[in-house]
Amino acid sequence: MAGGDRISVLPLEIKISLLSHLDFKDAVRTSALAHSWRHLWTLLPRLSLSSCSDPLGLARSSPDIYFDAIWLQRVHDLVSSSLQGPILHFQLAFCYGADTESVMTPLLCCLLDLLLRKGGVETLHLQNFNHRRLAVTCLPSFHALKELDLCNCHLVLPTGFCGFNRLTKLDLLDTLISSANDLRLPVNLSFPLLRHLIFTFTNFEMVSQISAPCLEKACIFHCDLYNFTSQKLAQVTLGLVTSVSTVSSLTLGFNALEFFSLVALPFNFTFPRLRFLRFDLNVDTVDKRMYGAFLWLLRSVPFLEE
Amino acid sequence: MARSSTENMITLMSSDGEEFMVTEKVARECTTIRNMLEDDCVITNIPLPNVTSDILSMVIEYCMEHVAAAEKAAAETAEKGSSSAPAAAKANKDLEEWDKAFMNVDVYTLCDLILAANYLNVSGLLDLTIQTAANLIKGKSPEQIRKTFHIQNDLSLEEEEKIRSQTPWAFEKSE
Repeated sequence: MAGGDRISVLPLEIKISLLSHLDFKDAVRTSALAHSWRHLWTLLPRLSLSSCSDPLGLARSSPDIYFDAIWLQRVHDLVSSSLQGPILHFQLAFCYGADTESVMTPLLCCLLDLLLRKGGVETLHLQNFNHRRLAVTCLPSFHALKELDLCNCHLVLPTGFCGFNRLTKLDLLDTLISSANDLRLPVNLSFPLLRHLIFTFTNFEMVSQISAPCLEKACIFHCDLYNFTSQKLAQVTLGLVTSVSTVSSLTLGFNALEFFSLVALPFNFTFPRLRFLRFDLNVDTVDKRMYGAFLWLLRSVPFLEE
Repeated sequence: MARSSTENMITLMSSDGEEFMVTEKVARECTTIRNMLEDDCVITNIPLPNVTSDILSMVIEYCMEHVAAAEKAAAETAEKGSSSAPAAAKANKDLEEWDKAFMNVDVYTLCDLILAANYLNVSGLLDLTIQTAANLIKGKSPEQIRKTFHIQNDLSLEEEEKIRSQTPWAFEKSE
């Protein structure tokens, strides 16, 4: 078998796929291999960066409150000056800084606007581990989104917004959804293609109804029983999972079960197509009421397999 | 291949003229061939001018292993009514081990397998081979990567210096 350089002569789309399997830093390093590799990384359709691992080389001696902001500016410069094509998959995590909301929000919006102009964003993950929630006001303009994953964000919905039409997966952790209109009108959201839903500590201020006719998997964790907004969460999500006959998998964690029972018991709901039901519970906290709720749920699931 | 009498056999012909008899099920693992069969179901002999015999035999070996694993899992599910989670996890792990051993090849073969998997559209094999190639690049310096894949450095010293200075963070040693 003849030797020589086989990898450089692979078709362009395979080489880009190869770079997509690497960390961003590793992918950029291939620019120094040879001429044919030099600009390859700038065609990458995905970008996944975290200020925790600091891949953009901001030497940092001690955690600085503006670190994430400076880092975010770097990401913006990189996307605007180096990356050529649309970025279909975008993932960002912030780890440092205390109270940088006023600095972070405009920067993040600027970056999201840039992504939007490049077009085609299908997957968006924003993980914010700062203390304050990060407002993502321009997010509703991302019409092509298929997957949305937010952690510690504040999603502000403009008047008239009724949902992401192409979304198939929605994962919200510690995220607040509110409406931008002053009239405090309730918002009805609809996700016609949504199949997978995960809500953890999610707070709906204004959302009164969610519809997702294709939903298959729902995971709901951590409801605060004595908190009005999370009662609303339970009502909304319960209304959702019980109204959709396609739900085949439901995972309830920590309080969500008891919560569901309180809201749902009077109504005699059933889950006609549920096949998989899982509880993540601390056994010590299971009390009588929860046991009652458990029995209720089991009764309401006619075709359970696991 | 005990049940081969009841199954359609397909002959795949490599670029160097060698013939490989496989069951239709195995051949269908290649999306390119599946599409051909769906367009014209009486086809029994498929020439593959882009794939050499040694690479084709490896692709077939991969497809056979994965078809066998899927059949075994399906049979177990049918037997017990539902698959038991630990058994399924073990089967998955076995298949992963097999994949790992299968990927113990030199970089020439690896690149040829990538090309063949791409041409025949075997998504599992394409993913496996590309991931394997990516693992050979991960965390390595440009010199090391060039050496591994026999890449000729056609950049002048100045050019390489310039590239490194544009994204200096990419060339720092990670701790």
